[in-house]
Order: sequence, then C-alpha cells, then structure tokens
Amino acid sequence: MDELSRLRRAKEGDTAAFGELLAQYQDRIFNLCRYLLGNRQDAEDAAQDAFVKAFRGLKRFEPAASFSTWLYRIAVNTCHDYRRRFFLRSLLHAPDGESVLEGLPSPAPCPETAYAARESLEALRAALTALPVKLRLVIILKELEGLPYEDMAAVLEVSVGTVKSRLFRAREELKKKMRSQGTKQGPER
Amino acid sequence: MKCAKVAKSLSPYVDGELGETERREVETHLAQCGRCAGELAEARRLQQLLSQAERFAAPPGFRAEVMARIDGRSSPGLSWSAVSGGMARAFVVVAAITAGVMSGSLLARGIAPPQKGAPLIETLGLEVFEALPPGSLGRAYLALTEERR
Ligand SMILES: [Zn+2]
Repeated sequence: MDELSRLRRAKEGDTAAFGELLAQYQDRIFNLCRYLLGNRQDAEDAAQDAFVKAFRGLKRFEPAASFSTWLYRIAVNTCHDYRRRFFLRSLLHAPDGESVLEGLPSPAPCPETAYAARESLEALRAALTALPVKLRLVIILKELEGLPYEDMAAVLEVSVGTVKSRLFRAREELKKKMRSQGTKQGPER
Repeated sequence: MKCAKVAKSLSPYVDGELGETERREVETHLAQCGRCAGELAEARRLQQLLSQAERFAAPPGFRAEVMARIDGRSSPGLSWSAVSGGMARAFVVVAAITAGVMSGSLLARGIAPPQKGAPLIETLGLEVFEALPPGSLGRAYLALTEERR
C-alpha cells in the first residue's frame, strides 16, 4: 500500500492504516522533538501527542498537500507548546536545580571514531544546544531531516526568503559558537 | 559578484537551492577568491559534521503507545493535569505578573497587549518573547526554556 492509499484509509478512521504511517514517520518526528526539547522523556511525550493530534485532525487534511510537511508542522507546534509548559512549570517549582531539561545528549562513545572527530561532535553538540530554538529548528529541518527550503517554509509557515535568511543566521551562529568552543578547548579546530 | 553577496549565497549554495544563474556567478567568484573559497570549505565542514550528528530513533513501544491512545486505551503521558497540581491558582499570579511586565514592554513597543481574559501564554508566540529587552520576564522565559548550557 502506498502513502496515498494509507492516508485515504486513515482519513476514514482505519487505525491500522494510520499505524503504517506512524511506523514510517515515527523516527523522524521523534528525532525532531528530541533535538527541540533536549530530553528523551519529553520528546517521547511530545512526539506521541503530535501523532495523536495528527490522527484526530486527519479529517481536515487535504491529501493533495504533503503529509510529511503537515506532520512536521504539528510536531513543531507541539514542541513549542511543551516549551511554554516548561516555562510555567519552572515558575511553579523551586529553582533548586532540578531542571526539566537535560540538554542534548553527548555522542555515544565509539572506539573507532578518531579523537579529534569526537571532539568536534562534542563541540557541535554544545553549539547546537546553545543555539536559540528558532535557529536550531532550521538546522534540524535542513541538516538532520533533509527538507528542501520549500518544505521548510511550509512547516514553519514562513516564506522561502525567511527560511534562507534564518538558515544563514543559524549557520553563522553555529560557526561562531564552534570557533569559541575550539579556542576554549585548546588547539583543536 | 562581491564577497559580501557571495557570503550570503554560500548557505543556499551548499544546500543546492540557488538558481542556475546565481549558482554560476557564485562559482565564478569562488574560482578567483581564496577567502570565499575558504568560507565555502568551512561551510562544507560544518555540513559534514552535522551529517554525523546523532539521529534518535523512537524508543521501543512508541508505536504501540500511540496506537493505544488513538484507540482510547491509554491516557497521554504529559497532560495539563500532570503539570497542574496548584497550577490554577499559581497561573493567576503568573498571568498577573506577566501581564504587567508584558503589557508594559509591549505597549512601549507599540504592540497591542493580549486581550484581558484571553489565555495569555497561548496568545504569545515565541517571536514576541524574543523581541523583548534583556531582563524582562520574556527574556526570563527564554533563558528558562533554553537547555542547560
Ligand atoms: Zn570573495
């Protein structure tokens, strides 16, 4: 069964067909949430919420549009909602260090990876974490999810020009942060 | 083409998102300008590094959990009720403080404050917060929602 037939059947309430769409997209959506929210548990909750919302909103979805774009948009908006909740939660709980956010994970130790490469990945991780969420989002959509500008514009509901300028800024910021990491960590870079 | 223009075009260039004409202009410039060629090399290095960044797969049981929620057999992991515990009262306080700070700084910028009684947080996009001056509650929001450094 191709995506379009799955979509048609899911729109009619066929949960098994939706399950196949879910299997097809779950890793991409989870990865996006993981990078946007910074910890596994919240990413899992948000990604689940996004799929449940998608299923419930499927009736309103036009199969002529791109399903993946629509799904990414729901996931991005869900993550923004979560971030607002973190803010409220953080105001309600004592600021004694028990942070809701863990930050992005370190790359898994891998003996084959050269030391220098591991160091750069570590610097990249730190730089990505420090990037404002709006800029981090375009980097994730482009570099990790591989979306073309037009799809990114549709996900973010902005113009292609805005995508272009935001990506430019994001890369400049990333480079700047990587450079300062390099100088902090010594001769590497 | 000038270096400044090329610098801005390198990002869409490495993404293969430049039109034919502009792409040729950039390439012509790159062939003659060592500085821009160096910038391109750095852009490609960054891209290469990002391609190695970890991809996270959905955890085991993810699909089953979503399907259970769709079939109404399970409740969501993080719902408002999970967060709320005393939230209603606290929210009034937070909203009052926020409204004070926000309307002040928003009015100063000529932006209409959120309507009274409207769910305040919902009406405020990230963009609004990011436009706020340092030290404001909006900035505090950003600081708090950014991951720990
Ligand atoms: Zn040049």
